[in-house]
Amino acid sequence: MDVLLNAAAVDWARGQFALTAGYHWIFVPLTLGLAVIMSIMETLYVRTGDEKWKKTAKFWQIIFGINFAIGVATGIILEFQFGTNWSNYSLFVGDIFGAPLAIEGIVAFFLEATFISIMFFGWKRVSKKMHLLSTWMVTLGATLSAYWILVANAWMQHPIGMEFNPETMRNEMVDFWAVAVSPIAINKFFHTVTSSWGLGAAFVVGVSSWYLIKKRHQDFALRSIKIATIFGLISFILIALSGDGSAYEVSQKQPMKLAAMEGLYKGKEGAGLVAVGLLNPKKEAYNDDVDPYIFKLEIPKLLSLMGYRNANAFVPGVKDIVDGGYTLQDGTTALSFKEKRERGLLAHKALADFQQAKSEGRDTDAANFETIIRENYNYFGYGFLEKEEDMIPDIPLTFYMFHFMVLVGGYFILFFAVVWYYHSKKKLENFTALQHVALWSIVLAYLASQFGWVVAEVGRQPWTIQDILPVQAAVSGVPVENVITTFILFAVLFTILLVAEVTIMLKQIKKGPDF
Amino acid sequence: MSKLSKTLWIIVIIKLIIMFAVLKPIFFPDFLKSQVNDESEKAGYVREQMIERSSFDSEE
Repeated sequence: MDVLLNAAAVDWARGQFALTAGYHWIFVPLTLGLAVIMSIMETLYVRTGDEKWKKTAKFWQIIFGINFAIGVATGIILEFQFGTNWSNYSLFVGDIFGAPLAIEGIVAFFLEATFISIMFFGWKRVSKKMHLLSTWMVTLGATLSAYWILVANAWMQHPIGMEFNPETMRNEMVDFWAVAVSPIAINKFFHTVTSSWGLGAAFVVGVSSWYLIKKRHQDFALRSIKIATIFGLISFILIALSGDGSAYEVSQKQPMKLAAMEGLYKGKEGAGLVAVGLLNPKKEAYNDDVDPYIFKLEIPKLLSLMGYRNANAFVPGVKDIVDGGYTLQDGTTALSFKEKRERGLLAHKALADFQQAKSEGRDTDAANFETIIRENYNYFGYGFLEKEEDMIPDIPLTFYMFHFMVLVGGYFILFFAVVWYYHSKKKLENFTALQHVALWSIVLAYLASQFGWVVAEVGRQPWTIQDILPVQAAVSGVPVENVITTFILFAVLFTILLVAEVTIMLKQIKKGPDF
Repeated sequence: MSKLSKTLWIIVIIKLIIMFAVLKPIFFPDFLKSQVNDESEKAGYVREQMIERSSFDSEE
């Protein structure tokens, strides 16, 4: 295969998936976050009978509806790409992805779709309690959808519960529960959902602050800020806790991603967490002696504590993971890239021999080759890699996205605390500077939300499935011109959708609530 | 139905038509299906792709 063409096809296919996933992720967090907020507001209406809470809930429901209508089905675009741009991957993981995505469609989406019609159109047709139940069911449906998608993504990061069948070339699910409730999936779910809650809260506070700036609908704005601020503060604290959980899981299962997140090239015991740092652009090779940092401020021992629950634990750096030889948590010695690649190549050779044996009817030989594949399957992906650098993700991108995301997370804890303080002292309505900060903080929330996914997905490169399948083996042999064409088509289509969303939403916000 | 509802429904319907009637059939065919004669050959095709892309070719 033409190496240059393949590299271009891989990059464009990755770029297309990133583009469409990024656009999809503009709509989803607001759906998840606003769903909870509007449910809380409607609950207050039903409990207090205060019509103003009903009007408040209805306004945010309209905003939810705009976002939902424009965002709905944007995720299906990603599935289109599986079948065309990522056909090898699609067959390889079909048995694993099929179950969670089917459950997502049948259970979660139908739950959402059924109750959403009652929520939007049933205000005068059903009782208060039935309507409230419907609103919470929509929230539950949306959240369940997120869970099953994240189960699929979690399996990519840490493949378990399967056996590879060289006859069907599929990873066949042998333990549904191992996949469905993997620690990675559970942690990813909490971190992703709470970050969406935080975004929803930031959005509500920001938009409400715009009304305060304009001195319009101030009662509505202050009610909305009251709920969203408390919800936001709780959310960002939960984000921090689940983020800690993420660091722990990543340390155990994807040490190279952690090393990239922290710009850690040489491992150490009692490793500190970089709070702020500037990477040295002169660091070009993972194994040169150039200092990776121009400067950094570290919190001593925190990386070891977060990663291994032991302040003096050894945290491997990029060079250690490539060279191997350090002691793992289970007491065994880490393999080097070369050793992993040897095992991967053994598996690949056995796969070729298996194919030959099967075609010649030599079933006993085929069974023996299958055993060799299974014994070396954990390193199957390394057999596609040529050199050490192939197993290293983009460190600057992963590092900066991670640190920006964490910085913004810390900012929002402070932000919501400050807004809550001024709101409780009834000083917020006159604090114009804070209102403007709140408005522009919406952008920060969206950026942090996107950057989190960049960390998760760029940090796992070159893998589509950790250690098992790198991107260059996963991609189809589709001509790169086709991928470029659809990339441009998607860029245009999604931009139109985004412009429509922003236009319609701004119009509705300017119109204001029915107060 | 309010003007907003109508607008959103129109956007949803147009979006779904574009996605399923234009993008999927024209730009996103099932690649594997196009490379094989029937379902049973898909595994063989992917196996050959994996073997071809393996770096053990460069070892020999």
